[in-house]
Amino acid sequence: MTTSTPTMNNKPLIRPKGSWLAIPATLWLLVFFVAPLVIVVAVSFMERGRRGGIVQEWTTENYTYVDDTYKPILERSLYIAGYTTGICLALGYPLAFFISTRKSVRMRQISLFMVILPFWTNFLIRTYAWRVLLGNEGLINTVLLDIGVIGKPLEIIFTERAVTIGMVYGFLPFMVLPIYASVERFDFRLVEAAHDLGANDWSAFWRVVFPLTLPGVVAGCILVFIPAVGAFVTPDLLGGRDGLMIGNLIQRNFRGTGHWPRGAATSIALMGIVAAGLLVYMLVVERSSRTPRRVAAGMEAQNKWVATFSQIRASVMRPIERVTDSISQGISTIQKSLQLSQIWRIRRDMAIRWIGKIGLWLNPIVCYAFLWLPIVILVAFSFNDSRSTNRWGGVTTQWYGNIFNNIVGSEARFSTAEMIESLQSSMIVSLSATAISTILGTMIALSLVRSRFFGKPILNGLLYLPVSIPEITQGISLLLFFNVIFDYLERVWGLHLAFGYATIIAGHVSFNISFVAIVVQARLADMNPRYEEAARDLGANEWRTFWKVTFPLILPGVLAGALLAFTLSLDDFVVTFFTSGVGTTTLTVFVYGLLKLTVTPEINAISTIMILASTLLVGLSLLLQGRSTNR
Amino acid sequence: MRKSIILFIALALLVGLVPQLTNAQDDEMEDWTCPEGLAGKTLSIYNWSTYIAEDTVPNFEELCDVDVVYDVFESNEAMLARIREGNPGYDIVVPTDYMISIMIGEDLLEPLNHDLIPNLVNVSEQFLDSPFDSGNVYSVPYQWGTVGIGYNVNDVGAEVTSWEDLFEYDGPVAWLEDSRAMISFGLILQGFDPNSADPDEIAEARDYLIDNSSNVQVIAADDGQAILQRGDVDMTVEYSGDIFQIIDECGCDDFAYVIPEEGSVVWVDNLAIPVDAPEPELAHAFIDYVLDPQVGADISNYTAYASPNQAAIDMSLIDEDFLSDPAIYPTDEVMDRLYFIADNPDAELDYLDAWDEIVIFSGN
Repeated sequence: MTTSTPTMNNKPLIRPKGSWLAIPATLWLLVFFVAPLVIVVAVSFMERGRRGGIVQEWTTENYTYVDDTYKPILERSLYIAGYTTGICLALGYPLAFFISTRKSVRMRQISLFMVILPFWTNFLIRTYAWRVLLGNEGLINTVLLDIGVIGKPLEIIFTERAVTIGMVYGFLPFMVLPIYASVERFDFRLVEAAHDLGANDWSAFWRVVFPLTLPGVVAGCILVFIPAVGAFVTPDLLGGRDGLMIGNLIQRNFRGTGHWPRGAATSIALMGIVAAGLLVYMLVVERSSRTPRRVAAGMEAQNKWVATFSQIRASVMRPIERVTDSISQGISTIQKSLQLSQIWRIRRDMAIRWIGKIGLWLNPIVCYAFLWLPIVILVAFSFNDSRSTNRWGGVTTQWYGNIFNNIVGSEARFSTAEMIESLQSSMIVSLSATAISTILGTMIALSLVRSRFFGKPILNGLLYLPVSIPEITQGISLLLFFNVIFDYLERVWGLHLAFGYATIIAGHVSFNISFVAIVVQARLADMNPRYEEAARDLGANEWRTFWKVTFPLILPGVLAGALLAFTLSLDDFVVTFFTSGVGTTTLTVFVYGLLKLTVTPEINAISTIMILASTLLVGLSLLLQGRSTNR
Repeated sequence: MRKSIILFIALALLVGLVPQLTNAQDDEMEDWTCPEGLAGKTLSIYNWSTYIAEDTVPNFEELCDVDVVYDVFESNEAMLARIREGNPGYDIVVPTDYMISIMIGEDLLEPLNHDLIPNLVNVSEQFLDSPFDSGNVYSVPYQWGTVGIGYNVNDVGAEVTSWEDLFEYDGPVAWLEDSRAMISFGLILQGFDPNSADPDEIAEARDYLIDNSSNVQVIAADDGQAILQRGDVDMTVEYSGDIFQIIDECGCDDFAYVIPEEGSVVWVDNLAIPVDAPEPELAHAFIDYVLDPQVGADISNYTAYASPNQAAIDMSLIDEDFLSDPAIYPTDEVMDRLYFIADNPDAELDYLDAWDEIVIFSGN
């Protein structure tokens, strides 16, 4: 290797010493993630007792049942998730591009927070907003009917369309954030270079920009597809009969009919689909991004595991490559025969640039409208002097008054005190889960990037497991796991334990570790190792190097990871739903109860307060950040 | 002559005594006193959604100086699944009749101490000593009602009288996430016993429901009234009181509730204490509190379900409009068409599978 390119130095700087850093997170994941999954697999081969529960009789009939009965729903879940991912990508990529190309840091932050802010309001409330908008007598239908565009209401609510819209809305930030991260890192001089070499915008984009931002795209697609395919809240609130998804069936088997083995088998089937999807994805991506990933691949290739895997893959891919290569040769022959004259080429390129520019301006407008319209309407209707969700009856503040007079939802019989209590529960859970997962996640990220040891690829895989498993599977696996453990403790030691904060936090940490670790890993991989080398040359020991050089450099990554963990934890409904006990109702679980049962305007007022609170919080952090960068 | 004197004296006594009696009871109900030694404890209630008056819980908290954690469930089966997992810490659950016998059969309920529930005398005999819990060892009745069709009068444009009207309606409808009730409608329409344990009959009922499901938009988990009110469906299968709640709330003639002529489910929900309840004593106090005539009447006046509290009815504490409404307190003739759901342990899995398939294949 020559030393002409700085990134070619792939010798790890901190040798095996750092590997212990991976231990706490690994243990946590083994206990609270892998063990529960093993239990799910075991239960999926058992029988249901005559009165529910599990009987240890081995059988495969649960899988036969899933195959016979649940197949149409599995297929539907798959294509709803596919649509959702596709739409998110089409909307999210240009948006991420728009955000990361803003000139000033402030503008970039603002436009990014404009995407994240709706994401900070409760997921359920965002979904509820769509129920209000899409209903047969909802705002969209009412307005369209009034202005005479349609003769009878559009049937959107309780269809697959409604579920797709709701999920695109819910998951768009998952697509935008990783793409934004990779576009932001992208060196735009490469585009200039491409232009200088004669590429127009089109080919510069597809040959240079897109391949280099592909890791972000892949991450985004995975982050959207997986929660989408296992979703149960959105189809529950918007889907009705036609939008029923596999997540609903799993939920019913655990919390409705109590057929645990069947629910377990369904979860395994869902995981199978996700795994198959991921594999196809990896094969495709690996192929199309061979060049930019070669460096990373080289680093890993020494490892036997990876080598074996890539051999298997190569044997699968070679025939496919041959076909695709001949196709692309054919295309380039056609392209050559269609060579345009110089002047037409310039005109064409100008047209592409023009269209691209319009697209780049239109997309953010559409996206921001899409993201903010439901929220604006919620806020507006929180002042509506009518119980109706589609007619304006004048301005009132009575709904806010109700909240402060301890009435929340006049039909739901929830009190404001209960809401405050649930907010406290949420804070206890989110803050604890964020603290634990940030520490453990950062540690494991450091050890994975900086040291080499036996079993590292397995550990990497372990880390991606929580990200690549639908939340509902995690939820029910924890439910089964804690049940089995508590049962055992009671039988053997007479210890009576119950679901509560500990179980919820355990679940939250195990999905958060991965998110933190992935974000921090990305930051670490991005860091120029020369700074550390320099520090060591200047006599700093490892400890000092870490705190004086490495940590300040990765701090933004750690903070981003913590923020992500906090947001995910605060917003989580599914894992909490399956692991909570009595009196640990978090805000999301509280809101779910509220939304299921009422059409009361107080919900709009609560949502408005929540939006306001998160805006203030985000604004404050912006202000603080601005101050520290100014200094 | 002697007879008429006795009659006269009896009448005089009645006239003279009755007001006194009611007065005495008046005092009693105004200050239901909380037993000693409960202050500072926490009671956890697991009840159906929209199923209690606004002030029931706050008043109890004040009277006993305790905290109440109040969680809701959407179906008997969901509640059962939760308790089967091992009671997470509830002191009060509210299962329906057949669910009481299931839970007794699985040792999921604690026997009640009737000495701690003096207000049990207020309950109508009609609802005591029921076959699902003879002697009320484990449960006391809370409220009762029926399953029927709630509909938007303007959108449907005709009077709904039967299940056939629902199945044949050309417009959006909602069904109820209550497997036993829904399948029982299929069974009676096919001429079978609504509590059939015969797998073939259950399968026929299932097919009948699937064949008649093309207009179903959503199978609602006890929120059919909200979906109806929002205008997303024109008709919904729902528990009686939920529909009366929205009729009451809008104060309009837009909605109506009907018990279909083919027959339907009548049910009684009951207060019970699940095993391993952390505060059984406080739970008994709460049960006694709910059976107080005024408290019971307040609940039923608010939720628009029928009250089993005879004392509350005798003392005219229940809204006259509700008492005289045959859709809430059905006439004997309607009562003859109603049936209770029975616990069928051997057919539990058949019902479960049938319902699963109905949920998945309806509309196809």
